[in-house]
Amino acid sequence: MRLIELRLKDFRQFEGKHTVSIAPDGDKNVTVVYGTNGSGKTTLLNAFTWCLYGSLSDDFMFPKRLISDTVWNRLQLNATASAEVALEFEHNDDYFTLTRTARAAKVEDGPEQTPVEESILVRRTAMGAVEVKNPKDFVDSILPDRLHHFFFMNGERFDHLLSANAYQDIEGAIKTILGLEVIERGIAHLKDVEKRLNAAYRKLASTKESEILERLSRANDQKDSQLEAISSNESQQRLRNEEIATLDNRLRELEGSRTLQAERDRLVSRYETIKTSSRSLKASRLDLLGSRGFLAFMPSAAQAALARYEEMRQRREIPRGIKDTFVQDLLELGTCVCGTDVSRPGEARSALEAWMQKAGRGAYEEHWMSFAGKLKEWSEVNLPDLRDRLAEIDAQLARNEGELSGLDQRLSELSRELVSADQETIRELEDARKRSRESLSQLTYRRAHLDLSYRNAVIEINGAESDLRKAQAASAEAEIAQRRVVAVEDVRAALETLRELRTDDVRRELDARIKRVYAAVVKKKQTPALSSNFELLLEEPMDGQLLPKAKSTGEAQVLTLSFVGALADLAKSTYDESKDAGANSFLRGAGGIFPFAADAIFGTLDESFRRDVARLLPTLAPQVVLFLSKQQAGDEVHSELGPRIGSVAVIEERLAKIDAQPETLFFEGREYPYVSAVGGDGDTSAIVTITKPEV
Amino acid sequence: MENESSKAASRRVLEGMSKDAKLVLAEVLRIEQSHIYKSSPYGIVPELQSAVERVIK
Repeated sequence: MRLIELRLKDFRQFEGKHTVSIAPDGDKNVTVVYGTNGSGKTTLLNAFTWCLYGSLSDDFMFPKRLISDTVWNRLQLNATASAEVALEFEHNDDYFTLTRTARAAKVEDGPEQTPVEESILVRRTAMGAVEVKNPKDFVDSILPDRLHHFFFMNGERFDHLLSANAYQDIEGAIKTILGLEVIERGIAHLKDVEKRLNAAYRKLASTKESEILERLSRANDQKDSQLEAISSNESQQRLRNEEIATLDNRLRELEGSRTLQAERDRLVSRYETIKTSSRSLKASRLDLLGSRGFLAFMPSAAQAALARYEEMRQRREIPRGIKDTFVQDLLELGTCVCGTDVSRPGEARSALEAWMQKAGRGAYEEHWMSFAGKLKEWSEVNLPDLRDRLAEIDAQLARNEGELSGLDQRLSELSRELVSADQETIRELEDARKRSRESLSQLTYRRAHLDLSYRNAVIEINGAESDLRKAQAASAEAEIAQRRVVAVEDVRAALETLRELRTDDVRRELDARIKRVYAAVVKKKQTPALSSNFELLLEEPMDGQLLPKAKSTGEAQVLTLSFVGALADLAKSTYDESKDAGANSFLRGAGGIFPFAADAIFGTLDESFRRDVARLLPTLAPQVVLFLSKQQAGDEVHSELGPRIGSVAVIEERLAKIDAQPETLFFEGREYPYVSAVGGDGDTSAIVTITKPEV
Repeated sequence: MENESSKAASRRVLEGMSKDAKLVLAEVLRIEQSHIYKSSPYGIVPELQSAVERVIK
């Protein structure tokens, strides 16, 4: 989707007709609309989402009063008025106008409106204009509703992406962009299809088949319920972790707990480092046992093999003495050791040639010698080496355990000190922290059980499926029913595997993109990360490993924007990939070209972050639309954004109060009305175009 | 965008499927894709069931 123009008619404070021209993609892809607080910047952002999806942001006051108040106040009783927003855009070389209208009749005096909304989408081609049916479905297919809050962003509320439950949003956005929804829905719907087919099969099945089907059905139910419980457990763990992080922040701020909390931060960091070290030691131990554990059985096995070999040699079961090269020499000479002429083909030569097969090959004995040497080496060198290495690992693990226990003890002491602090606030905070920690450890314990139950259900499904395949069908009809159940079960399992593979692939890809975007703007040691659980984190190196760090407002904003930029980039590359004729069929219709529009994006940022964010913005999406006040658009913002601006407008706030102080906006040496005192029956706003995009 | 190892893993999953399962998968993708942008997925389960019954008979 490429935006061209936004048009308003009597929409909220914009009485009359107004137009914002959107800068096209390219070097000058930024559109800036200036406006003072309350002049209608948030209204313009909402005009986009209302027109596209019929939705308005939660902070949009009086969402039913869409028709301009001044128009509504002047309206006669029983007369009708309307507000309208139209968006012109281009998609796949076709031009579209999407118009949403809110129409209401004034049945009584007062500001309340009961509007009826209508949306019309018209496609304009060389052949003329055609109305597109189901505009909602069409818009959803090119800029999905599920993604709109990423691409139409209220800068004052950006931090929701960093909250504990944002992972659902993030994971959902990724899946939408990648067309994984098709797979997700397929998995969900096949569950029901399978139940129906299973029931149909049972009517035709033998007792044995029925038993297997019952097992399969029970195991599938168990798997689904465990998955649900795991997902709920994960989300509760996130919430507990977020609670603990918030409480830690409070304890860091308070004078009476600052020192103890700083010590706790240090100990927790050390605790995590040791836990990571123990995990990797355990993985190494497993690896060693997996690849070389067999050495433990080597001494007796080697002895037995050597003894058996010698026995076979004694019994002449292993040829010795005659080598194939010796027989070859005789054949070349043409005379056998007994003096018989073997130079020509015949019985004697054939008999000698037969010895070639019986003779011990030169390499045979050499190989055995080398193998016997290895057997000895494994028993006498490698096995002791393995024992030493395992002992080293065990010793380090024991040291780690010791240190962890010491840390645990000190952490408990710290907690006790905080719980009995003089200040009541500190005591309450620490009490709450303890409760969250206890709940977290119960959740972790429960999670291990859920994982086990889930794995058992999967094993049971595989077993039942395998038994079903082997089961003799009661009739030809039952055989077909059996094939249907098995095929659906196979497809469901395959889709689950494909979903996992693809989601993880793209998470890693997105993680790399976020890191690239962030590093281009923020020159610090910290690194952003999209965790395997789809959490957007900021990490900092500590004790040789990366640990999550608390984010300042500026860092959080750059992190969020890096994510949006990476998402837009991913959407575009997926879109390009999906148009490729040889594309994976799952990608059909996936991705898209998404614009980015934001209100108050510089919010409360300090100067250096404003500059960083201003540098980042034009690169976020093919088209960027920004709503800024004069104060937000400082010199640093101008110097970074200036060369990329392709379209500029100002919202003139027209106040009814005649003695209000007027203000102007200076832009490139000219003056434009910013706040005007015009009188009249209510405050309104008007859009004044400063620079239109070059066509 | 897919990395090579997961591409290979996906390919193995698809290649390892039986003929029946491949036919069902094609139908599932076709039907789900045709429904993806519809406001309501009503009727999709019976449609999928009929498709399975049609391709395996």
